[in-house]
Amino acid sequence: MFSPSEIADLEKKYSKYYMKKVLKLFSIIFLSILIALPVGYYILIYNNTTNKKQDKKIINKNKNEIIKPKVLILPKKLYNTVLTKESNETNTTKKIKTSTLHEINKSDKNMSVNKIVQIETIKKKKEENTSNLSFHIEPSNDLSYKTSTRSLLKLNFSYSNEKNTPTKIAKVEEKNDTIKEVKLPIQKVSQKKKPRIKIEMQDIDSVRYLKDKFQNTHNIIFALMLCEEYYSQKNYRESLNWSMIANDIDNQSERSWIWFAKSKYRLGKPNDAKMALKAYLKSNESETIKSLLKKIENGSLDD
Amino acid sequence: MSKNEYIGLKNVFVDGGVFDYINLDKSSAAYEKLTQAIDKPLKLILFFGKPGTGKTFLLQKIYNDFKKKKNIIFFPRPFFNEIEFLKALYFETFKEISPEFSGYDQFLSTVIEKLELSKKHKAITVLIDESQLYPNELIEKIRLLADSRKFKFLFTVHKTDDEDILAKDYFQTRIWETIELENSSYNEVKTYIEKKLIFHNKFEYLSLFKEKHFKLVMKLTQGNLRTINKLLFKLFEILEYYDVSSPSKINPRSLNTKFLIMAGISQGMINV
Repeated sequence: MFSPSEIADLEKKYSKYYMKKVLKLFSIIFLSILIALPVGYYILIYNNTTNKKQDKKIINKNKNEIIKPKVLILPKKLYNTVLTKESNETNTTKKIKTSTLHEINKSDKNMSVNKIVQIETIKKKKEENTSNLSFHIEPSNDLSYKTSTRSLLKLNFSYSNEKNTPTKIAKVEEKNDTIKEVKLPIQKVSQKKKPRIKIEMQDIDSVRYLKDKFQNTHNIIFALMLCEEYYSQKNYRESLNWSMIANDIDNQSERSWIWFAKSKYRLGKPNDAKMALKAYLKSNESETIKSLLKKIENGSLDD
Repeated sequence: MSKNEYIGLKNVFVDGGVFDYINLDKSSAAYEKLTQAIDKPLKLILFFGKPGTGKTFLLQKIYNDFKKKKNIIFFPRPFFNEIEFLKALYFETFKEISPEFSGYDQFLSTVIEKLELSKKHKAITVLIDESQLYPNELIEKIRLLADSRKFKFLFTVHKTDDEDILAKDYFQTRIWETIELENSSYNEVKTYIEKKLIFHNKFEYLSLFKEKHFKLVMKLTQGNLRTINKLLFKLFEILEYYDVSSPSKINPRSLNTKFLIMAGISQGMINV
């Protein structure tokens, strides 16, 4: 049997063991809390950040939906030219001629847009419970546009709490002639607010605009548009220069040859014009070129 | 509870003090394998396991079960000398005092002649416990005895983590069958303790041990039966002390885990 001292020693050891166990338990709990706190804090922060980001995304998405440029084609002055006979553009131009006002989404490359109307949403203060939309009409890249100056049309919409139909018809009075009806897509904005429309007009130098565009893009379209622009201004030397620039970019561009020949003709060098057109016809078949050549030969070129 | 009761309980767990073979699942399986191996025409059988897994008890049981039916000899203690071993083998085989032998060859010729005269044609099974303690030369002589087909030997060897007994030269090629006895599982530990108490008519103390106590015993002993015996012996020794000096600290119907932990500390199973 154990002696009292042995038992006392064992009890002492047991107390020590028990304390160690309790301390170990507390250490584990303490460590768990130490680990859990920053992790929990991080998760909380992360979730908040994610939620904010998601909210932002949703807001941006909504914004994008609202701000997304709507392109309206406004027939102001239609241009009747040889160039419009070409396939794509011809179709589009026909549309332009016949349409009242309709909206499409197209890039600059299409060059079929007469005028671009951008809708901007102006975020208004919440307490005002109203919102604004703006329309900008900017010069288009289309060759069919003939005027020397372009118009910038701004349509500012502010909404009241009145009931709205999904689309609004706005009447836009053109400078020169008719009143056009514009269908305005407003369903993505507050449906209950009625827009008030303000229209502002600004003039823009189309040559400068086209040159800027050409410098930025080096697209032959802008060079040809500049030919047309200068030709319409009777600046045949510049028209000739830009026809050669366009031809440098693409020597198979029929229109660059046309502008070259017409400019040469206007500069009093019909032989150069004829030689150029004949040279083109040697390797290409084109009724337009043949017709132009005939007119130059006959001296009956009017435009 | 009287002091004597705890002494009685303590003595139930005296290791090797009483032959109270407890039939467990793993020992039943090993028992079956061993008896089958003994019946086969094998020369050498290796029975191994970690210390305290119950190998000796199992050998003891086999010996007890077959000593009247078969020619079987059991050497629970190791021999370190060849002549002593041969004399003991002679005595156990013929149940008479061995004459003096000059060496192994003389012993072998004498034994073969005597066995043929007594018309004992079946090989005598020799159960050798603690084989790892035998000198290598003696193990080699035992192997030669097995080659004579007059004896078959069952070596019982401790298996340790550091040593691969099967890699030893004398076991490598000559052992024809190996049987391993592993540590007990949790359920076997539980059964072992309960059966021990039942075997020694301590039914009223079956309720002393709860699940948490069995789990702690398993954790401390890793299912080693010898270690369980040591732990429980110490436990009842501690309880014996408290029963005498401060009986209010113990409850005869319920075991305080503290005393089990104290027993573990006392046995060095728990380091403080």
